[in-house]
Amino acid sequence: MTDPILEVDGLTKQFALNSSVLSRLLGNTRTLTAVRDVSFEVGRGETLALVGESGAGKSTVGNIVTRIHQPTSGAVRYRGDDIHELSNEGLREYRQSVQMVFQDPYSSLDPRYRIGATIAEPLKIHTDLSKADRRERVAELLETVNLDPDFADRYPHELSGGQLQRVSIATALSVDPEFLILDEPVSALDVSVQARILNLLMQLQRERNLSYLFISHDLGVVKHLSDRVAVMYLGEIVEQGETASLFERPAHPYTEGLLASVPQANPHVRRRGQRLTGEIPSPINPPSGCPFHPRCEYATEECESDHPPLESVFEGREAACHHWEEVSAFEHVGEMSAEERREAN
Amino acid sequence: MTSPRLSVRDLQVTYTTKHDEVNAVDRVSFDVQNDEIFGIVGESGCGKSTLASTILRLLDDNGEITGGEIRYGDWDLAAMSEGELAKQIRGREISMVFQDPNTSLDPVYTIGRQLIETIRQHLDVSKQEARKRAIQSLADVGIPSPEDRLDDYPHQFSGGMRQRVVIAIALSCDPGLLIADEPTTGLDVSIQAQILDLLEDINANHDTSIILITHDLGVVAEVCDRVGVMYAGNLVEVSPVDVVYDDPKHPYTEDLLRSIPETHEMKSELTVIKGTPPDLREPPSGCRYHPRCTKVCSDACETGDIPQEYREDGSVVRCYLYDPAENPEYEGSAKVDEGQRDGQLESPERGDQL
Repeated sequence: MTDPILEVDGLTKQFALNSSVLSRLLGNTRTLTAVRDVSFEVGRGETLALVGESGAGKSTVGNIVTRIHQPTSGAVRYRGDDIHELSNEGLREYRQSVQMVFQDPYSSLDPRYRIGATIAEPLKIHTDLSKADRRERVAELLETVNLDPDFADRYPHELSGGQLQRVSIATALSVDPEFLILDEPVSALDVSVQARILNLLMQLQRERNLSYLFISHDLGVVKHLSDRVAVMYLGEIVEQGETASLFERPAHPYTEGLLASVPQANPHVRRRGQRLTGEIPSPINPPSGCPFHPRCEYATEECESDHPPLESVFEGREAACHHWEEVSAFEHVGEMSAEERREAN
Repeated sequence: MTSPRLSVRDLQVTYTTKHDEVNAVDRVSFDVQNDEIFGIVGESGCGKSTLASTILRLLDDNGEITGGEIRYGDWDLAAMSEGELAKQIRGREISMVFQDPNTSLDPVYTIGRQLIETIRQHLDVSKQEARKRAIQSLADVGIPSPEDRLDDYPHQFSGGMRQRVVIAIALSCDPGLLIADEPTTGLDVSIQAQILDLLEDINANHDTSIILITHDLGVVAEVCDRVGVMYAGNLVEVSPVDVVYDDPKHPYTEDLLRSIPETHEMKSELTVIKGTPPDLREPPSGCRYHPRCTKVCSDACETGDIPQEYREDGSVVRCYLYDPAENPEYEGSAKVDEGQRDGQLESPERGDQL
């Protein structure tokens, strides 16, 4: 990657758990480590996908990058500056340049505001456009996301989910951002509506050279539109690399299991490889050594005690696994014969 | 030839609101064979969940069956009395699993009590016998040390395990048909894969047919033998699962498949279905898909009634493309006559089909 716009460096976030006054006085507070030593970069015009199951910490990472949460340690640098040490002016610029789109457009839009007012709100804060200019800009933005400019006078309840999600995107685009954090932006939408939103996101990225941090659990969508993928498990990145290569040749058993668990929309193909067994352990009391070892079929004694670091394993790939060679040597993709499928069933 | 487990014929369901009537399910016919997993797939608002609840007559107060039959064994579920339905059918012959296990389980009772209550409601067995059956049910759905877990409350189970408990309750009286309405939506992929494996396992090892309602074409490809595709209250196509993916018959099925990312090159533009689904208060005339269809072939598509059902290979499809009278370019299919429906379809061995 040539030109990182966002650098996340050694990010850790702990949340204090509710505990009684007495135990707090005695200094026995319990904490939950939601994100542990996470580092990644996003280049200009690039899409990095953060994937993982619920509780993996991917949204917490997104929330730290948007400054909703303060990190416990580590830094987030945007165009080289630490976002938690910005001057007032720097902060205002950051908030203009980095915008977010959430999963549920019903809860991220104010039901009492007309669509036009919602889209114009960031313009009021970040620009000194006149009211008439703002109206014009709103109409342009609605056209950008393929909605009729008349929608400016409607209320959220008059729109469908896909239309509302386009309004969220228009709002995010209103102040010409360079970076979008997209937290499950199409998860609540039907496939035919999802296709439109994905097309729109890809088109906007091409036209404006936008960078995306794309948080999703849907690996089909991730495969389609991301350049690189970071796979999270129990708050850590366990594997990171280029999308096509990572889907073809995973080097971490969790990635292998995750990919093998996704139902393929093709009855003739099923990925080989061990599907995930069991469930994610509690992050309050994570397993020793490699956090994935209790569910891992490759696990050896070493894995129970020794936490593997995330390190470069081959060209363009980082993985945190003692047995990455064995995992990545496995032939994962291909058509399954009828016999193999019968056996798999 | 054995008769199918469930036969739905010309089923019509209407919701009445203050101002309108909505035909949420319109002239839907299909069969579910013994021991098959029958998928019903479609997007939000297409009527798939209404169809599922109608089979057990669990419609909301403003919904009613306004036509058709639902034959299960010697019963017509559409005409049965409420009392008989509760005694003979629900939970006994046909049971249902919903999306959210939290709403299906009562948080203040142990799961053992909920299981035993269901069993004793339907089967004439002693408490000890019911307890044994309950333990067996939990073991069948893969809950470790079922004997100990019987006295646990729902909150002591994880989300995936809770859905297993719901399935155990549904299976506790050995039903002939299990209706699963989006049973894995909202679960993580790893848990989803485990629940789908469980459904396949139940289907293979018990005499239980399954209707699986889902919006996820991946889930359908993974576990279903045959699948019905719904659009705007109509069942537009019923096909064996490999036909749906290799050679879809109805233009909507084709368009739906083409809008998922898996069928495209990475980063390429996805195919989009033009327009939006219709408002069912005023459904389009003719075929309900015609305003969005790229293969309109006849005036009848726009102005006629909804298309009849035509047989095409092993599929049943509602589209004028397959009507020689409306589409002169087409020859070779026949209108479906009663009795010649899916009943005569050879039901291939599961293995061959996969």
